[in-house]
Amino acid sequence: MQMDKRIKFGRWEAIMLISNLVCTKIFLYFNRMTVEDAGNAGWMMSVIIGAVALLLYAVLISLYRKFEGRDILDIAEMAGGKVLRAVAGFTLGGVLFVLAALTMRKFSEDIKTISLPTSPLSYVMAFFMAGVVIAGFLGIESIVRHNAIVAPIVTAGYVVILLGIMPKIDITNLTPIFGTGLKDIFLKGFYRTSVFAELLVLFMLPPFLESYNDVRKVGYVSIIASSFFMVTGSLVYILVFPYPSSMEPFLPVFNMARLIGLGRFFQRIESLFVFIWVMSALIYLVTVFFFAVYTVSKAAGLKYLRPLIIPFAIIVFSGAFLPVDLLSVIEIERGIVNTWGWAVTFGFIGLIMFAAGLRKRGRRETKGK
Amino acid sequence: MRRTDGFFRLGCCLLVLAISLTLSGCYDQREIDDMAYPLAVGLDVGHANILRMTLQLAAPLSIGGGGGGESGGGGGGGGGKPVSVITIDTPSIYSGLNMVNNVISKEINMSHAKVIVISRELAEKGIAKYIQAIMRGREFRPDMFIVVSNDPPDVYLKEVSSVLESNPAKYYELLLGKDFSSYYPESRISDFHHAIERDDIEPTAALSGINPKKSVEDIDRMEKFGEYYLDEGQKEAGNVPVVSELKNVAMGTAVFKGGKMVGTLNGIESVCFEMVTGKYSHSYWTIPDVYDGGNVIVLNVVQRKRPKTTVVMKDGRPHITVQLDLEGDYTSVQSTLEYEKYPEAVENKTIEVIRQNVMSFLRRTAEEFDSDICGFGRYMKGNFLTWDEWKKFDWPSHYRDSEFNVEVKFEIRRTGLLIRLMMPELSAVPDIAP
Repeated sequence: MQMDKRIKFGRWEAIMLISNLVCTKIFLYFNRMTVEDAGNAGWMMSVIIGAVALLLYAVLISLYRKFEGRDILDIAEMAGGKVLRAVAGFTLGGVLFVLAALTMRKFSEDIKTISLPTSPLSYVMAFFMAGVVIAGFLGIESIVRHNAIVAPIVTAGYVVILLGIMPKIDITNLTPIFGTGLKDIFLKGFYRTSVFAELLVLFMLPPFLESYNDVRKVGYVSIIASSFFMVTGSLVYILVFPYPSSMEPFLPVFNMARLIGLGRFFQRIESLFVFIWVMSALIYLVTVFFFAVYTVSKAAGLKYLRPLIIPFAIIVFSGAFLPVDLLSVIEIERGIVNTWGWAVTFGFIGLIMFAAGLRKRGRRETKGK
Repeated sequence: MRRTDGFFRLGCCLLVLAISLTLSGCYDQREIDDMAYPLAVGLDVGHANILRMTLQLAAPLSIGGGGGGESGGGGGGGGGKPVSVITIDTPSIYSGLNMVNNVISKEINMSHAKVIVISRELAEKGIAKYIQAIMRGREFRPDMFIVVSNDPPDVYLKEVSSVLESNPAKYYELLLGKDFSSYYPESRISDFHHAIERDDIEPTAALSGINPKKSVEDIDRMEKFGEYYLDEGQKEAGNVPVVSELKNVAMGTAVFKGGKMVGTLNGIESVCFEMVTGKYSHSYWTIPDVYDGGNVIVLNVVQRKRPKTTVVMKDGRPHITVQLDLEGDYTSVQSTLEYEKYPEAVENKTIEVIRQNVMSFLRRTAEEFDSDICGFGRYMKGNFLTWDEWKKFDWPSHYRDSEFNVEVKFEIRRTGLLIRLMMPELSAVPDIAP
């Protein structure tokens, strides 16, 4: 199936898609990571992350103004011909494949730890892979529209957890106010903008959105909404789990949900967590995988996408087994993906747009002469 | 095209069928009936091995059948004891579970365990290594209660019986999680674990024990109370003057420093602990009558607002100020004086009694236990900007030198269902108007 050029979707769907891609990590590790980086001032670091991401996006979107309706691969072609288009496509597609493989492994390990302890990992992963493959065959429209339904449900569930845990908060957990120091808050806050790495999918969406204005708004709203949930999530987590104990939980939101007990009837709310978390993570996997395949197929100039789905699914499935253990996955996520992700999303994409902009201006000047 | 869609739909149906069959019948399939659910876990110093672990297992058929306690309902078996106790000596909690699985037919599942009972001996040796194992375990709940028992847990868990409740799990929840008796703290395992790791607060656990008194003669053999009444909170679990079919008594607080128990608080000190930490709900306070020493006034004292706590360093010593905001209702005025109309004298007396008790409790935590169980360090932390500065300050080494100042605000609001007593003696009483 070649991507149907007539497929269009609205801003709401796109916002839900991008926000879910960025926010899934709240369920997986984000809150713990902020505490590991900045101690009990992790919430401040989340504010910095959001602010820096917004700033970098403002730069990117101003560079994008001249390329309305084109995705990043089209822009790369304008900048450096088919070679740069292929380089950009394989780089971005590769990044998405790595994200898909890591999340697949992490997600399956999490499920194995909390729900299916005696099932083999491959067995758990096989079911997620099946979902990913089916969604791949159904195509982008199904994925995006499904996302628009699932994301609000996930958000509502998450808000219920945050509200349910309120009786457990202790305001003194916020002190010392600067946690491990301002240096950590700002410096790590800068490179942890890598948590917005999935924003690169936004630059594959323009052909499906109506106008430049739509792309701009989708980006801003998604970043602001994601930052809001990241900051509130991190803040509530720190208020509930005192530092340094807050560095211990494997799945921060799950551990938080386990503490909820409102009377004798509202207990074991983590079952709600498992429900929303599985929905969120599955839709994340589906989206990232689909766009990985789409990006690579477009970079390679292939007419049909469907034949790539199963082979690529097998590659992702096998790639997910490369890290030796769960701690290796966490280390790769923390030390590589969430440290250098910004370089791809903001640096690499920014450079492509900048080069294309220069080339465009050069051509115009040549034509003028 | 239609043919492809047909194959796709067929494939999806087959996949859904496969998922339904495999997920419900493979690796992690477990029948509830094949599980044994401990409701309480006891830990003690072992003899044949490091740790002596006792599990109090629920017998679901007896619980479902009413256990002979509650009326009707439920159907099913019934009649037998609602719990069964098993004790083993083991190197660790999980290896103990392995061993228990060799004894009983069902697989042990800890997801319904409500309470962990630690023997005093083990608590004094240190329990941090066992608490972390429980927190790491998937099946253990973080909201389990933690109790220190004066008696060995194997004895304690055999004696614990819930006469008014057919369901022992509910019994534990109601007993240890209630907010209407403040003679022991509500201690949860997750809070305990965090407190072990923090340096701004120390852990505590509820103190419980078996009441050895079988008849009122046993109470008669206790020390006589003397000329004046003895406050009911002056006792600890184990020496409470009570005869009951229910053998266990929760009364007092086990005080820890790090993972080791360093002492106990009696009932009234536990009330003060609850007040200072803002977890006090309400309880009856017995105050000596201001003008008539032979009588008492009983008040239902409620915490109106959370306490306001400030901690500042002066001359190298922490100065801790606690402002308690309480209110109360008359429950009993034995002397029939007109205290309803002129409550100031009783209010002042109550303030004095509460202040003395709280001061004495706070001094014990600093001077005797050197353990900041109230978490004053949490307020001290606010004076520092970064974590490094706070760690360098080393709060635990300063706490023993603390100076305390307790300010109590107390007002009597209501008089119960009577606004005055019209007994004949009333006309003969002295004028207590200010």
